[in-house]
Amino acid sequence: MPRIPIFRVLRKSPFDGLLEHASKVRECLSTLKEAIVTYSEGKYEESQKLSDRVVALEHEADLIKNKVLMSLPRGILLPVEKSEFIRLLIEQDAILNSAEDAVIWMNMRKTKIPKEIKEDFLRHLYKVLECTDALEKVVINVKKLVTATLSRKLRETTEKIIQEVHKKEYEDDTIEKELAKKIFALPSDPLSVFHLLKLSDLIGDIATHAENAGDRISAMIAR
Amino acid sequence: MEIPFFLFIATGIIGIYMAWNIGANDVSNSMASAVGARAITLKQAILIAAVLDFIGAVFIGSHVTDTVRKGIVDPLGIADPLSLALGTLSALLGAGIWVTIATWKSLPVSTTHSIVGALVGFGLVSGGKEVIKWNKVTHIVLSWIISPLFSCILAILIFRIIVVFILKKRSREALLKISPLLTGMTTFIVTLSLFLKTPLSQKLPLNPFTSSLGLTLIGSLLGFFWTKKLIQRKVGIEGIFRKLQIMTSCYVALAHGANDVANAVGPMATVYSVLRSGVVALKVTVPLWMLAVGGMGIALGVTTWGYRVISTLGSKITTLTNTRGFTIDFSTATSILISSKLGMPVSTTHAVVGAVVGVGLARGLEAVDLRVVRRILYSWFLTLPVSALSTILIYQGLFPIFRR
Repeated sequence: MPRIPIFRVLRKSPFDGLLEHASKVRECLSTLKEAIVTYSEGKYEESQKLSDRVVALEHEADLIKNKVLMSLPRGILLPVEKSEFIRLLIEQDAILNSAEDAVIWMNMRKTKIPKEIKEDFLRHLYKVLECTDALEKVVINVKKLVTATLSRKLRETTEKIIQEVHKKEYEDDTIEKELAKKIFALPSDPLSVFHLLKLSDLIGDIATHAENAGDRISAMIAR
Repeated sequence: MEIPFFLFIATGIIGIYMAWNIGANDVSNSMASAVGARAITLKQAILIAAVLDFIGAVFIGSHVTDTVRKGIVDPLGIADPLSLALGTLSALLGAGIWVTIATWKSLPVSTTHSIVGALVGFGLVSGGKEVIKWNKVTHIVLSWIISPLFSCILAILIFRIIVVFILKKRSREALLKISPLLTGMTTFIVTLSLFLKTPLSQKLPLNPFTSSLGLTLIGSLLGFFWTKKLIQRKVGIEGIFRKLQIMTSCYVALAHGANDVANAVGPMATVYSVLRSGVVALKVTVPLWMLAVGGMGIALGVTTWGYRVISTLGSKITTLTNTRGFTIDFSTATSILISSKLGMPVSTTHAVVGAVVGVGLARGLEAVDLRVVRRILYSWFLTLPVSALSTILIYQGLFPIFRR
């Protein structure tokens, strides 16, 4: 190994790992979307396959997360508080933990999603995904913001997108509430009601974690 | 007393080995930020470093050197030509061994520091502690702490200035206002260093300050028009810094060759002079062919080790943005200039590391490993005693063989 002090002083950026993790999150969530949509269409076998894929992707993301965490021992200096960075990464990972919980719970039982709630149910899912999409934009910006440009304009834009994450999470809460009411109003058996309610709840958790991650970034880039 | 010719051959071989080391180890230091910032590719960096290091060594490198580098040891206190030749050889060998061990252990030591340590060892063993100019040694050792510290503080300041005046504004007008200042400052530091740091000014009948100022004015004007053109062509801020950075890297390579060639060639010249004249002088001349040999050695080190750098690093290099790379180069160059103006033999390596830590502390880098910095500090403190001790041992081993 040649002695190349400057190259060794400069470590591989953990922000690259954060972005790698974020893109894994996107891949996993788009699979989750397909898994839930096929489930709602009654294609349970196909949904099961997609769900397995979600679980596998969650594991891959976990490995990326661990790799990044392992690359941050004591003595590594980051442009942001290291603890803030780690919290952000863990929160971003929690998004996938919820996604995994949701698909596993979904496949515990083949509950037909009734016509009355199907539209609201999918609206709930799409809103959650809008929320995580917005978060990904924030994470991409945060790398630029922290490591390259430091421009005021970009920080303001990023703050705006974080507000958007908040807004979408709030909208989703409303949708989820409406959906819960409609599920209770269904003439279904209690088991189906329980299954659907908890599934909706777990899907909602994804947006909650995305919102938390947004808050972490807010704290990170605040001046 | 007869001094065998093969003593000179031996010194020459070890001298070339040291030159190889200087090229091999320092290429990454002078070119790293430019490569890390993707201003140039690794292959281009190696080519530039090899060519400019060679040019620096041969055409700007000093043709006169102290008999014992930097006047650490009073050569008249030794008087006996054989002792001087043997001691110089031992010092070169001692420094060479330490550099090799450090390289193998991947400890970033400086060839300059090793030579200084070895010469102290040689002085101690050949003339006793009276022949060593201790205040000079203290001065040198102090400079090793001050120059990276200075380069670190400078990097923080320059980076903050770039952030506040350029990066936060991101307006074309601000950039247009700042760019003549930056290009002017860069030209000033580069030209003044070349004039002061190297013996170029002695070769050209020019006043270093006025000619640097003149060139700076030209540089600023060129910078202004050039920035205007780049802005019209919609080149971003980083793109403009990229061009500035190529300039500063080239300077670091040139100055590196000019300065460090003496580490390898100086002892060679001393032995050569003793061999030819048979007496001990205060100063010795360095023939051009010897500088060329040193320059070749450095260029060879740059090219051979360069490939290892390519194969080992690959994608592992973290990307530096051009503003950061420029800050590092600029701080390094300035720190070296000022230190050497004060007569301190400083190490490029350590000035670079100081600047990197500075930008890191200013929160400009994505991840800085402070543990590596600590390791660098350890090896730094080790260099002097280890190279001194190995020189003493080598000298005591060689001496009985020759003195019969």
